[in-house]
Amino acid sequence: MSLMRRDAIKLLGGIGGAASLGLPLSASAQAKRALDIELLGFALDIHVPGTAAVFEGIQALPGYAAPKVARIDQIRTLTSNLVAGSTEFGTPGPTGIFGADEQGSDVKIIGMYYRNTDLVFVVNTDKVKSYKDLEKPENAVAVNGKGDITHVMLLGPLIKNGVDVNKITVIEIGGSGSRMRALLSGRVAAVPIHFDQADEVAKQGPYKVFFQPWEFYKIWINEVWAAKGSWLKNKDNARAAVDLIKATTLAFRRSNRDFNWFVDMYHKYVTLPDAKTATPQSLKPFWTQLSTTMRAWPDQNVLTAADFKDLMPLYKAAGDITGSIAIDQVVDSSYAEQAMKELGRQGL
Amino acid sequence: MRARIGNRPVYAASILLGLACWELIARDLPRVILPPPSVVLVRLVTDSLSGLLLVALAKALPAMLIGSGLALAIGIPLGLLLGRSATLSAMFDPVINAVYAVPPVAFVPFFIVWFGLYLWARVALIFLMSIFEIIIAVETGVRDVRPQLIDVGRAFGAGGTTLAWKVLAPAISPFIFLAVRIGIVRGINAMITAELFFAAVNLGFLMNDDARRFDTSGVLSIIVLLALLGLVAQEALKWAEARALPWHVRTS
Amino acid sequence: MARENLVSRTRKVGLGLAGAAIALCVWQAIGMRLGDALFAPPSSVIVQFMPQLLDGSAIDALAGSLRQMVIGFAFAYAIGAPVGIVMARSPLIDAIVHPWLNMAVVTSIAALVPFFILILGTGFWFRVAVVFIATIWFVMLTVYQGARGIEPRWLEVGRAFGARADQRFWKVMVPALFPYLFTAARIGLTHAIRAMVLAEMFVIVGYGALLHNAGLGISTAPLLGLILLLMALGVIVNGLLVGASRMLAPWYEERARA
Repeated sequence: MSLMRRDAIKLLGGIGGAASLGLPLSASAQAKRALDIELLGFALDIHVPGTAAVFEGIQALPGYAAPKVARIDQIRTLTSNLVAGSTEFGTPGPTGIFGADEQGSDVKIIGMYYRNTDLVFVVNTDKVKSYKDLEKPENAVAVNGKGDITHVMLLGPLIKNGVDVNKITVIEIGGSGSRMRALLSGRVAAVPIHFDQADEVAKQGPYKVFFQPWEFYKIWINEVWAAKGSWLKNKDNARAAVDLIKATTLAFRRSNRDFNWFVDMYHKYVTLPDAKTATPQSLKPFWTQLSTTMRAWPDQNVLTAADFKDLMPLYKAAGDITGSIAIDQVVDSSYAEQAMKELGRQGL
Repeated sequence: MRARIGNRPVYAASILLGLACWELIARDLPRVILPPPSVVLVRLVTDSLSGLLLVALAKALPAMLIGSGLALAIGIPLGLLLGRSATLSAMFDPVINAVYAVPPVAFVPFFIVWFGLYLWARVALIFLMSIFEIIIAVETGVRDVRPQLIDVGRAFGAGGTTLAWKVLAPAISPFIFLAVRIGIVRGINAMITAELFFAAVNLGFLMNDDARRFDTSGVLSIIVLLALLGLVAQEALKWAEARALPWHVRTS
Repeated sequence: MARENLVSRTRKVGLGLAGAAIALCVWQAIGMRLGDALFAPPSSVIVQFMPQLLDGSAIDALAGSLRQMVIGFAFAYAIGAPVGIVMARSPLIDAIVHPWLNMAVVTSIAALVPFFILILGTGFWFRVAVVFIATIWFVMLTVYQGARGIEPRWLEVGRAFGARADQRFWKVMVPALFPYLFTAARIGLTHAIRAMVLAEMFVIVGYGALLHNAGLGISTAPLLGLILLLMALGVIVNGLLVGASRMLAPWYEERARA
């Protein structure tokens, strides 16, 4: 089949799909809609396309004005806001959403803000020579919040290497900067921090990356797009969800192919103190890592219940869930699938 | 005296009225945002009776007692010194004001480095959060002691220590009481703040755990517990001040 | 007289600078031992923070944040100070307000901020509310303490001389209250600034956002630079308050110079 015909079929499929979901074909062009979005407070290299989609991508789609964006310091607060319905879309970690839904909240995970994570597990090699050393009470591990993605991500490799997770001393220190300094001053023995921070930390002493989640996990989900289920039942809101994922995916695709665009967006949106002066040469290795090795920005941006199958036991081990809820009651891939249909090969 | 006893019912009525307002507002809001006081109070009583809250409180208090104690022990003399010496006050008031202006949360990363994550870090934060108001209260009070009072004392032949005990001390005791009240108040406040910013233990741990599970009643029950503690502590102090310094308290 | 004042004021500034210099030396010593990653010394701070300071971005952010802080503070003072006075003079009002004052002043703002975000969102009113709640109790408490100590005798003397109630208020009470009104403004403004920054750190806006982001980098120098700027603000604000008090209540300064 010729390219054009394949696209035409996909387009028709997209329209048909939209009709079957009861969605309007596009956002109402009359009043431009400003979405209400909450993001986390910091944006690093992995967040670049998602953040660009929020601040620029959505309003490039017909019917949308610049969204109202709030940045929240703590994942827990953001998740609470979603549960309470005081924001329309948010980018929490999945663990909190599963936990909330077990308690009767009705928040749906509809897509990825990015795939994988740029967090790595760094240990003080003077104190921790093997995984088992983490069981010692004097070797504390500092995470962002107990049970959140920074905590759960550690459990897979730890369990695999025979560590009894109940014996590990886990401390909550909000903020990767404080965690970094806790490690450097010897107050804790191991921390999850971002991979560019890890490079800096390694220069300061006996600190090494013990593992990188993307090498260990077949698929790891960090920040997801989420919204309240009851709110999504409204046709216009469902439309907005599809468009949000479309904007995100377009940004992913562009990021994968257009390094210069990535650099521009990095300068604009990354929240590190020296982000504006980062040179393309310094960013290239990170970009290659994210785009190629980690596949952090999938061209086909669909998150399904199956993706979480292997992660559920870890969420349970971290105490986030009791396992009483079915994954597909939380994860709703219909919006993402619709978005892929409508996008077709656009942006590729 | 009669007026004071007569006001206890008003005091209690005010609390009840506030609780009633809370109850009404909470009716229209989802449980996860604001549970009604009935739920929170039941939770408070249940968790207290089971020992959960009281054990956590007992473990949290030492940091507060040490931190506030140190703040009073250092702050009161410092306030006296700065109040009496124009030179020292000119030298160190700016530095003190400078550190006072910074929110304690900004110092947390540095406290982690210097004091670690546990007791001594919390003590340091509680100390930091209490000492400035103590210094200011005492310093202002000492400056306010009218020079005439001192002159009169001297005219009657009072020398150094007599002057201090019989003239200055009574004049500044209200400020000392104010400083102690502030120390305790800031101490209770800082006690829970520290447990949220450093390694979450005791009450801070319970609060985080409840927040994580969207258990807003649990979180509020701890806040209410601390509020009640503060209420009782301050009323006790007020009573003590009335006994010790009857002339200062206006009776009408 | 004026020349005396100038000399003593210059002396005061000189002493203040001396005190600051001592503090800076201590900081430099500790900073050099611990290093940039843990506690950058002033020398590093100057080098690494200067660009941000000079391009004005830090000061712009601070000015923007202050505008919102001032509104919260103004509300808190305008309500807190009169209520404090009334509480001290009327046992009935005292009995109504005091339990809430006692409970509110021990409650940690940091613990309440997530609630505020849920109910008020993350915008202007959220930040004004946090500043308001953090400030009002201190203002009320300080003014209350002062008004409690005003001897009925003074007011009686005023009445004996035929002064009306409002004259008694303005000519007897307020001057006697002055040190407390001043201290309440001082403590109140400081807590207002601190609450403003705290609220901003939770929702990553304004000056709080700069502090939050600076904390992510490995060197503590930019963070300390921002903290230092905040300290300078505190000193300036205090200085302005003292200056204002000197103009409004010159007799207070006279009395204080024992």
